[in-house]
Amino acid sequence: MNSTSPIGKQTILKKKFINATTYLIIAFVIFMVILYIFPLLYLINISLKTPKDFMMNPTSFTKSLINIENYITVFEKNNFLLFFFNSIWYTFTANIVTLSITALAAFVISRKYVKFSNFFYILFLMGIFLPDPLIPQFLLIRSLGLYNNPIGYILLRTNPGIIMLLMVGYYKTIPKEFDEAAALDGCGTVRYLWQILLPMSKPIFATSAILFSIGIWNDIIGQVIFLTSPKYYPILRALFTFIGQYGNNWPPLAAAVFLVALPVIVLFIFFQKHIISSMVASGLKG
Amino acid sequence: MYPFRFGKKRAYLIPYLILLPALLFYCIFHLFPSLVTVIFSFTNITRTGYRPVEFIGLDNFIEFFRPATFFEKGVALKNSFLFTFLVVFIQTGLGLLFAILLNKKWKTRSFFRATLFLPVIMGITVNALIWKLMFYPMGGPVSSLLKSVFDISSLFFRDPQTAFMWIIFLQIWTYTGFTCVIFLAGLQGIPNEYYEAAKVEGADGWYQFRFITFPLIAQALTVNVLLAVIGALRTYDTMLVTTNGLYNTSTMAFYMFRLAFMSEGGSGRAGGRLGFASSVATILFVFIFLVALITQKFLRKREVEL
Repeated sequence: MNSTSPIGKQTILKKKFINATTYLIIAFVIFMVILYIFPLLYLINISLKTPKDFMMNPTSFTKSLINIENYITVFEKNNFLLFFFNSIWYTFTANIVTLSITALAAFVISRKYVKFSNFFYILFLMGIFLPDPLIPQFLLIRSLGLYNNPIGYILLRTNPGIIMLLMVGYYKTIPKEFDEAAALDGCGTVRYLWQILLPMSKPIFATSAILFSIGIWNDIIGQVIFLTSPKYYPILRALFTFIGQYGNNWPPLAAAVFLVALPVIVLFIFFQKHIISSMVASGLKG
Repeated sequence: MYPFRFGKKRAYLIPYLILLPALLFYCIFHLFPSLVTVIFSFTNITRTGYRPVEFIGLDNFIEFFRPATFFEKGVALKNSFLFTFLVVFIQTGLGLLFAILLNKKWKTRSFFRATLFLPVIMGITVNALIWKLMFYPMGGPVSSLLKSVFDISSLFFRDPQTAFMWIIFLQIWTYTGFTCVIFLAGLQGIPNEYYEAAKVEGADGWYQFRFITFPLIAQALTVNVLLAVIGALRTYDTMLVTTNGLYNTSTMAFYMFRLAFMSEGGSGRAGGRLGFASSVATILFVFIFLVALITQKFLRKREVEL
């Protein structure tokens, strides 16, 4: 037996490589535990401490795991339910309007049923690179009399943009022959869209809705500028004002932060694959 | 041709009617405001509208670079470059490393991938608050650690010397997961046979990375660099929720935001200078455009079609 045979060498090399990888993976796991998992657990821990306990010792473990006093404070003193409801109805309305108008437009653009369909596609793509539209948007909404008005905010968030790119991409995968066959059978436009295209669009609607909802839920800039009355505040805008309100009294603030993050975390646990793949798709399109 | 009939005549108009709502919404509320930003940058328009709007040519751009008042804008300009450079470099590097590790088969990797991605969807406001709590200066975990190990005490987001570094940290912490999943998508597209062939040839890990992985994920690299550059140059929400632009943490984008929407617009002047703020947005757009061109030129070359 020759110990320096190529196969022997290869296994040694392979072993070395596997070891290096294993160490790197261990390092990665430690990194993740310290920098990503610990901060979240720490947040939850603080939200369960009494303010006094936090003042005495900010890093200690909570004395009671069922101390939900801070959560009650947030709900009772801060109208959290109203803000929650605001967020949900803004997100919902903007979603419905955006998805429906964008799906229709994406259908005719992807089929080239309109002249210059490529030009329209590029028009929607351009939005990613063009200058920040915030300043003219502000003047536009104000001159429409919709400043500090939920309608104005929803109009502004109704944005086909990136969703259009995703949907055009999706409808291109549905053969045009479908349309022609349906048309030959005497199917009208409305019926085709409603009975044939809509059921086939479920996956792309799910992807777009997730992407779009997360965008609105987390849109701090728009919420700070366009919604100034507390009665119109979405949840994130409300959280932003708590920072000043609670100062260094962290336990109730931590409870509020966790309450804002919770729906997103739950959604993520259930739709993890969908969310990640829709984010990747939006990134690759951009 | 549009195949569907609708009533009898003028079926050719229907597709345009279907397109119209989305087109109108997009043009009125997004495309048109973007273009108007460029027009505004040549005017002296204000938020309060106390004086008639005039075209003032390049005055805003000249004012931006005027040496006498450049100090504050200089800080913003320098910070923008520093922020973009560090964020793009570290975020892309870490994202690629983590993607390679997460692409190996090991238990619980999907849990860690999800955890890494979570901050992307929790949003910058929640993330900033989580880290403000971690950075609590009176005995929070990070400050206790820094004090006991290095004997440093820092005010973190309130420390003029280091606040900007903590903002960069927060930005990278938030978006590395996004960069990582884009790389992962690229890595998963590489057929395993390539690596098996390489193993038969006796190529080690580094060679496999250099000659198989790297060329084949060049497209993901282009996408990541481009998105990170655009994102970093345009970011001002991160500053808004951490320092409000104080403690030397203003960037070009934040400076634009402050000029336009805060009561004090910098250099002791009143805020609401929408024209001047628009010129800052336009300068940023020029940067983004240039970076996009350079990225295309240098990175696209490296891309190999599968």
